[in-house]
Amino acid sequence: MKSKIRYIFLLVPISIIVFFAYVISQSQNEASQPLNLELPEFQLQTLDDKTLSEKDISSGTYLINVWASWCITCRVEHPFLIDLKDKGVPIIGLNYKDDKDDAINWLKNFKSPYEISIHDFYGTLALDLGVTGAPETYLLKDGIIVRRHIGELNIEKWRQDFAEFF
Amino acid sequence: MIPEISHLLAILAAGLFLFSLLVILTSSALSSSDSIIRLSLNCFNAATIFLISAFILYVYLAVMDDFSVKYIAMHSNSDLPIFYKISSIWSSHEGSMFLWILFLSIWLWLFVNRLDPQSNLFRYVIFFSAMVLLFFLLFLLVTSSPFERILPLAPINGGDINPVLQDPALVIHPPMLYLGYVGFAVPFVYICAYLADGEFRQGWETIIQKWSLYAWAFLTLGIGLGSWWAYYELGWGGYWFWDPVENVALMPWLAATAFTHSIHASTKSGVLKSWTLFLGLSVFILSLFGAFIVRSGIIDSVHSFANDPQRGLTLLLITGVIALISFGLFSFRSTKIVNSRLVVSGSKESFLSLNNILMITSIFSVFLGVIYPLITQYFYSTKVSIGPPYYNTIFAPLIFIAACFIALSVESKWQRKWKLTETLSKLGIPILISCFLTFIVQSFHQYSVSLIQMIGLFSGTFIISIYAFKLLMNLVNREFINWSSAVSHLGFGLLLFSIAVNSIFSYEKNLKLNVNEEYISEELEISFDDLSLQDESNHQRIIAQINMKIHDKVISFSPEKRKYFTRGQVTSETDIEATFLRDIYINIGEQLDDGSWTFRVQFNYLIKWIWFSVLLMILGILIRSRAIV
Repeated sequence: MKSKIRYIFLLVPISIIVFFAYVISQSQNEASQPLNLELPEFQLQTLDDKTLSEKDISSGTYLINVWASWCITCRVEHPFLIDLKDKGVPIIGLNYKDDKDDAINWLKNFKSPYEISIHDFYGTLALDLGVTGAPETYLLKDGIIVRRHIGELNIEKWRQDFAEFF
Repeated sequence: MIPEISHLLAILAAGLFLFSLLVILTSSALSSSDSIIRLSLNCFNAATIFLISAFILYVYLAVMDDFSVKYIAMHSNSDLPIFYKISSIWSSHEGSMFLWILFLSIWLWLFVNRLDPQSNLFRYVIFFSAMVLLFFLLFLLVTSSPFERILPLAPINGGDINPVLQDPALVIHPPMLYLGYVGFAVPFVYICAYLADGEFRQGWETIIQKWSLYAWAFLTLGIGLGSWWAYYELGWGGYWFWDPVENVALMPWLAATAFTHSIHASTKSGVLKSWTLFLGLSVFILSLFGAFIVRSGIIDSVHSFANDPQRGLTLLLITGVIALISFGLFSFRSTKIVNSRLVVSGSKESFLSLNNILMITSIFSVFLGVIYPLITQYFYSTKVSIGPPYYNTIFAPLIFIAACFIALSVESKWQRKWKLTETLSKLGIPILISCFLTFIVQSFHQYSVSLIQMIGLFSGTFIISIYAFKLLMNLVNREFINWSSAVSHLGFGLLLFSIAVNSIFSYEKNLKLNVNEEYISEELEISFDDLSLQDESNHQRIIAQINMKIHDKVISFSPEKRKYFTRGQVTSETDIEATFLRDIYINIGEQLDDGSWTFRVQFNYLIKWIWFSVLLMILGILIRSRAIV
């Protein structure tokens, strides 16, 4: 083997390690739990062609759940959201960067846990909220975001951080 | 008391591994002394026995429902049958790591005790084995201890096993997979030792070849079982999803497959030695990388049953250190490795070396698919999802080339140039058969068949017919046949064939039916006859009665949903009518607001053949391992 080629066997693992260390440090920064943020202004179409803005949900307690039909984990999370809906928890869907027909079909096939689902095709509201991906869940209390959870919401997370508000 | 004993035994094991490591270090400073190496080996053996005892005690705790142990309290329950109580140990992170380390130590223990203590590699083997074990045992004890207790008031009952995992396959799928992953620690430590020693004696390949074959068999079985589980029990409706966790299992598998081929070439004719060393290191490093991806939860996956970024960072660190040590040794030492011969073009070795390049290409493609979403997410702030279209497109040409190489290498000889005309004359009939079959399917299938599917079908048929032809020649003319190669490659051909046929012919229907409603189409009639509720000890069952009339035959199905009380989780139990060629698969979905239910009906062709072909591949490898002394 030529002497310079051999450094590739060191450079490749090193760059992979650095990359993943960066990814992990990023994902940890974002995992902050209690929040106190105002809901950003927005005006977007919903999947059933109505218009929704921040003023429509400025009072009361809601969950905002970021989902998409391309997201596998959302499917895993789905039965739990249905459970919450049956218990009377109002959930607003934020359909994130998704094809509208795919999203509507998904809701038809799996049953919708959402009161209403915002179609955020360009991810503008998601950007303002600081969404990193789907699924993600925010708790909105009288226009203020007080909780945030990245990833699948399950019964343990729910009891730990969210249940007290309902 | 017993939890503390178990914990203490695990800590002592870590201490003994450390001691064994330090003893070896002093022995190299004092120039080789037999008694010191003996001492180190004894420490290593004692540490393994302590670790095994710790695990046996832990199993006892789980069986006796000791809910003062936090992990057992969270993942087991006194209502569970005994085999679930035991397998609940590996239903989440801490216990899985414990089992993983136990297997690692058992593999290495068996290997170390089979080696000749007089050989000059021995001390290095002990050193690297103890080092790897120490790293992971410390990881277990410090960041993910399964021994934590809830005292003084232990819960009366446990939080139950995750219902998704409440299935007999949980008993067997993770252990098999782990046995495969950590089995490659054996070639790994030996190759590290070989490189560290630096004398590069001949004949090292034969020592690890058999171990690698066994590890390959376990890994393949583990992946196959996972795929079978996802299809039959979890109701995911398919056998492979290109999910990140599946991909990180596929990468070591591809590397292991390349490694077993490459080591064969090295033993047979003394070529491709650097390749074999590199691949042997890569398999284990890729297994560790897989563990890191699964445990850190940085990628969304349906397998995310247990994750935590903090642990992820520690695992990354351990994997990184081990990778840098081993690849560092490789890059500085392997320049001195001399192959005893050169590769003759057109010989069997030449195709095996091309196979190595092909495998590395596919590993890299899968790797890219796994990390690409992370790159876009963190550097461009957009989320992308890489799914089947990417992987199918990438794999189709690779599979096609692999099929051609298999075809050519079957007829080629070790160390000799191939005779082009002779090779081609033997391949004529298989080529004709596979072209003909692909053409028939393409022209008579009602929907269009994609290029990728055609490539899959052609490659599968091609490989099968080559070996079928070989078998025939063996029976008629008593021509030589390499049974292990024939059986495992037949398995591989059958795998491609069944995947292609499955993807071409299978279809699904999504139905929305009320009770007593019927769905009628040209080919089938489906009626939803009844819906009943049944209460069980820890869950409620919603059972649907479905009758299907197809080709004048009535089949009844009862798919169900289960709602578990303790965690409120819902799982779905499919009902499958399986015949030799086809499975009819019914899955019950959600109840809609108008009271109707959704159903997913799938017609899956040759799906059972996929698992059969995996078993064939394993059988081939086991035949091979018997031939090695």
